[in-house]
Amino acid sequence: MSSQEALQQLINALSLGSTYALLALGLAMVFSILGLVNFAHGELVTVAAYTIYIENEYGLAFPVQVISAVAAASVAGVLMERIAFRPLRGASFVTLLFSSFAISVIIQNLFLALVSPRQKGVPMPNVFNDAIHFGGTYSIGWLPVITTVTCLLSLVVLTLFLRRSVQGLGMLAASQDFAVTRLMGISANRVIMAAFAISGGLAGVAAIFILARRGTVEPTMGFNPVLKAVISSVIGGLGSLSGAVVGGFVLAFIEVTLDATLPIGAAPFRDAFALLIVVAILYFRPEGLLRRAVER
Amino acid sequence: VIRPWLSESIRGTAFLAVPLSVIALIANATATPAELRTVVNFFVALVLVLSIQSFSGNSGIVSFGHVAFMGVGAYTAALLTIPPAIKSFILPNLPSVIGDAHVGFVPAVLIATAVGAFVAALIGLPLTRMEEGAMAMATIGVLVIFFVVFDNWDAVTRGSTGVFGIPRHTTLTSAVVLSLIAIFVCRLFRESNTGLKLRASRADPVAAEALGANVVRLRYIAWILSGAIMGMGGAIWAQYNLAFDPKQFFFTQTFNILAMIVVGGLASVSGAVIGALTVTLTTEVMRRVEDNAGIPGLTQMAVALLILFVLYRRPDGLVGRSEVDDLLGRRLAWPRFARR
Repeated sequence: MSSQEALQQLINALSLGSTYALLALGLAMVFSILGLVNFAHGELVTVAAYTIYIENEYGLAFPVQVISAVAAASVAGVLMERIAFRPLRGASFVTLLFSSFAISVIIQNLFLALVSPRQKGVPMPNVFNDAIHFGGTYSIGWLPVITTVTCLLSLVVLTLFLRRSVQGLGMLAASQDFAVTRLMGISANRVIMAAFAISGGLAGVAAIFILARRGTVEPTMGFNPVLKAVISSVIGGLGSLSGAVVGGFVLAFIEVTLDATLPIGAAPFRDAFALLIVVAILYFRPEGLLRRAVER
Repeated sequence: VIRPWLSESIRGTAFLAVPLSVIALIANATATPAELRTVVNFFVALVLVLSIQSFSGNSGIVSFGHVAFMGVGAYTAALLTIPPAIKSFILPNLPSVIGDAHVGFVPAVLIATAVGAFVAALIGLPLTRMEEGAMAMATIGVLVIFFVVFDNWDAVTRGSTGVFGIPRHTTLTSAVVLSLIAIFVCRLFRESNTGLKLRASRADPVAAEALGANVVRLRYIAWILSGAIMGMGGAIWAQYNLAFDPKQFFFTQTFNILAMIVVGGLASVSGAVIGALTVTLTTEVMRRVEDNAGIPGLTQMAVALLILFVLYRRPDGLVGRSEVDDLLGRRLAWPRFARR
């Protein structure tokens, strides 16, 4: 593999990994505080994507679409908690898991019934299709570059918020020990609301790039994102925030490496191979990469 | 002397067998072909739900991946029962051992059961070692891995086009008999020593481990058993629905089966039965409403709302943690206690 090809693949892995990282981080944030693996996390991506689709139909400017899509996903996250998860606060892992599963199906079918069961094309700005050309025949698409930069920037902003503000520190503390954090005077409802708002916002940012890649919206489009998010956060260690980010990049590097190395006959099985590697990682580190085995 | 676990299993199975047989007899006597289909599909679904019950109900770990074993059973049965003439046409690259195979209902179901158990044994090796939450998540990986394989292994599964030409061997009688066997096996496992220890680990894995239970081993045993039941369920499902493609073993099917177990209650065999019954009835009613109103997705939404309603009101499901016959037994025994 030439160095240009390697660079291309590296950028691909970074852009894919940073998208996964955003999704996984949102999932891990809610899980670490509430013990809820939010299956409906993927539907936040769907909400953001449909926001862009609908505003596109009305001809709104792209920056407006982007901002309102992120806001819509964020609000959807908060509403989801208010309406569906609050009555179940303190319920068991299994109960929470099933309820989020049901909510995911309800939202999917709402889009199916209210918009259309079919795929709808969404034209994106041309810059996403352009590429940066280097002297030779090699080029790097703008989309992976913009994706990487934006996602990494979101991670930096979020880290600053978590480390530097009282609310953020409260959330970090809550992700480690919610009960004690509440005793320290941090409001439970505010922490949970913030977690869902951030989780939705991150999913919204990721959704823009997911949409730019696939170019269409459909009711079930949230399944793949939530799947990647769950796998990433399990690789990193369920409930660890930094683990989720690391897991996202690990998963992306596995996928991109497989894409580059698998023979053509085996290429359709790429996801299966990737998951086998993940299961192998978990076989040797059942607690995930970044989580120490703790006494329960 | 009959051992208590055996007598309880027999009593529990008999208790469920009576209403189920009545349903089957009524359906046999009066149902239209469409209604009969629903009833047979209900009994087939019952086997699938019982498979999840035997693992998740006793271990307390959710599995999203069991539909993969249903697929394994279904493809096994399909490859064994499709007439060789059709097979040589739709799957020309099949090894001749399988290509020429042509077996009846019972051997097909038995082999599918064994293959289901075998595949589960392989997958369960890494999976059952994981911490509960991580394992539940990893089962989603299992679902996807198998879907990708079914969808792309053209030589054996015919890829996304799917297979057809399976003879209709599954009848109302065989579906009822096999679902009753599944009920008995699940109940037997629940009351057995292994099942009891596994249920203890469900309540508190650390305490169970401290008392000498090898939790990983217990989970592994239950996982294999549930894989076997799922393989059987897949085999009878395939031999009733005659043609299928990989999409049948993915998200929607998982949702349908999990809906039944959640609504009825994970922890008991009777919960699986009541859940399957409730969800089947809801689906049948809502499908008519959906068709009349012309709103797609209404049925799934109704089932999802049913799940939420049950989780809010009765987090342990409609039946709860005890078996129906245990609850009733206690009610009947209670006055005698009171007299003393």
